[in-house]
Amino acid sequence: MKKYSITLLTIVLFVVLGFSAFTAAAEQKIELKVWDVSFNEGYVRWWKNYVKEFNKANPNIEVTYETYETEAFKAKTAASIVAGTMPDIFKLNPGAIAFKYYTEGKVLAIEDLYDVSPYMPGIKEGCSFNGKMIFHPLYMVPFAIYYNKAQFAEAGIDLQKWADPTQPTWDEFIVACDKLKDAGFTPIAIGNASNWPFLAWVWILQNRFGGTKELIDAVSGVGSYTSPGFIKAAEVAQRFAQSGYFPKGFSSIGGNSMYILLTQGNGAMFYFGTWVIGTIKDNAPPGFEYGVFKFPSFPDGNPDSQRDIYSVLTAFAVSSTTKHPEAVAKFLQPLTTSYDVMLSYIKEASVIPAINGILEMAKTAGVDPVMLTVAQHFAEAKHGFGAWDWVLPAPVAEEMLNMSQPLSMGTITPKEFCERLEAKARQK
Amino acid sequence: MTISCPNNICFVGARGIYKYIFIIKLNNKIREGEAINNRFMDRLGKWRQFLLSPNLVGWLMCMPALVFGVLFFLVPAFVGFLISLYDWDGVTSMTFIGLDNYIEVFKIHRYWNAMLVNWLTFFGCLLTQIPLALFFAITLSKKSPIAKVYRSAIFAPRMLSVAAAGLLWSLVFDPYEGPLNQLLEKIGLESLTFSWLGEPNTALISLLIASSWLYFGFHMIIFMGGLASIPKEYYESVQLDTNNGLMVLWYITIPLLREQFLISFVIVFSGTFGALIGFFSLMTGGGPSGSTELLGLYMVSQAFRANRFGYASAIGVITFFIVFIVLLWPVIQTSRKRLEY
Repeated sequence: MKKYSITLLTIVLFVVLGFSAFTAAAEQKIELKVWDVSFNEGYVRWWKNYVKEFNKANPNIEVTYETYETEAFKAKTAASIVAGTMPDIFKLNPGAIAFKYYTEGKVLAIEDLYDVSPYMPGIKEGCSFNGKMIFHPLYMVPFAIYYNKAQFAEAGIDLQKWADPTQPTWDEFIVACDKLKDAGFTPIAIGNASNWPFLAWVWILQNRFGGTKELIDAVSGVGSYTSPGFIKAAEVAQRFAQSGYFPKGFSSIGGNSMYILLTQGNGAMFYFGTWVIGTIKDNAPPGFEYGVFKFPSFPDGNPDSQRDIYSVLTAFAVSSTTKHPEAVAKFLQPLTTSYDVMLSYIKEASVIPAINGILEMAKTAGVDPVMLTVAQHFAEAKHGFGAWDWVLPAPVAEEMLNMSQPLSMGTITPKEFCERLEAKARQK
Repeated sequence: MTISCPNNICFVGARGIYKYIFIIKLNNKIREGEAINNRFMDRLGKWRQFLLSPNLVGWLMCMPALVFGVLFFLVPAFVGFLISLYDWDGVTSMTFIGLDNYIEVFKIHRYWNAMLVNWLTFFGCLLTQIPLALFFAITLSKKSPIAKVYRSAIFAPRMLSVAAAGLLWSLVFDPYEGPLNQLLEKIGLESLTFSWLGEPNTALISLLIASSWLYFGFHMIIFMGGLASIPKEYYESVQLDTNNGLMVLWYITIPLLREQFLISFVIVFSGTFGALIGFFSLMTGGGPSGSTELLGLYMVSQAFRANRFGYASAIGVITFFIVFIVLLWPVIQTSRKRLEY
């Protein structure tokens, strides 16, 4: 009897355990992990809310959204790609480095996952490799110069007196900087601890002097980084940095400290992306008023490039190690199909989605007028170009970043800057 | 064997001889077997002795640390050395290039700059942390409530994480809102309100001050332990001849703290080439203009920014050998001449 009882008990135990395992497997949620960069609170807030709503609407999917500081994020992503431990979705900037991930099978093409027709053609091209769309464009962040209206008024600077109130010439701009300096203000808010903010000046100056063709030729090897446009850009940038227009110790200012220089009154003008609009909303004191204008033009520069815009294009990549590509598609697709989602994205995150027709809709939807102005600049630009530290091959980008502080501080010459860049680009 | 014989006696004799030879051979075989068996038993005995000995317990206790050390230090070091022989961007396939990475490293000015920064940092840390630690260890070795408070206050920074300490000192050195510059302005020393972390001339010194604040308390504890172990009779006997504190310090205290000096030297040296990387990265990232770029930071930027893992591994291997060679000699010398009271 005892023997039969034990046998019966064992059978019951196995049945119960087996059933539990089955139900556990059936109930197991699909888990997705997303890595992103936190550049302002509004952006992170928007995404956390989007993830929360998505998880609620899809009870069988659990999305975890994680954000990191920019420089730490770059190292973390690079390490995870080498180790093959990428999250399902992660942020990156399309360019030489990013496309290599695709050709080496580290990321999937989103065109294979969902419909990509809603994207703006130019942006689609920027995220495509050999005609196939690889990355999901998150947003564009056109750069412009944001200025403190109160400090401008106190320094006696009137934009209406410029030949074009939306874009000064370089000479008009320098006059404004000198007036601000004489009035006791720091003309430019900039923090160059992470090296790229000062280089953003070099990049736009190269564009003004040499145009996008000179850049494309240098990157492809047809041209050279020692072309006149590059050298003149480095010269003008260095001279500008050495003129006392930058804050004290700007090479040590970085991270979040850089973003609040404008609102703290430690810089009257800030050449930056639309991210700053969200930062101003979150950090500016009451009554803070600001405006925006395009980066200055050079009458003797490249005639084709004076209205060009430097714009960061940021995208999400889908990891090739993801076990749930359908769930990933379900998560990302509303970002291309729902205009309501996109409009709230513009308003809260202060970035411009890359969807056809969004700019026209944004005009009537109560979006921040400064944001609309910048979006208009972007729409009017003949050409746009992305961040060189993502466009160039990694070793060249690293060498360029390494030379940013020496160039701004005058410890290397502009010619040396260009020559070292050229040497690195051609090194085998 | 049978022998033809006229009668049964011969037959019996032959059988006997055969038996005798057989027995001899059998005995020989038995002795051979015994010899083999004895050798086996000897070997088994040694194992048995080992298995039953206290040493086994010690080895078992050390095994987790040994396995950890092998898996997380020796194996990665070896893999790092292998990678240094390749050109690899972490994404595409590896290309064997032999020692080309090492040749390139020695030709790059930035590497020598990082080497210089590393050695300056080492000597800076050594000449600030050790004397400070010794001074406070001697001063605060008294048994008084105030001394205890000071000891705790000095050791407290070690409780902070590197990230917290880095953030704290970044705020202290902030050129606009930092308390250091604000204090200097208030006491009329505006000319000294530098951008501490933003100028190449002041960045490294600022980091040395911050890292000394963070680490010297730990060395103080090491020296206090050493001071406590010095027999009082040594001081009593010296006091019969002299009351000169400096002579006592120079001829008694410092020589008897030889092992503590060695421990602190090892910690400072290995920390400069290792642990300080995180601290420096948080505060300046190696800037401005490479003035605080340690070898480790240069290596990390080559690996994760330039995507040159082979080249970065070569820097790591060279750094490993530098640390190993510098630390090996004093450790061996001291272990040969063990200090006993």
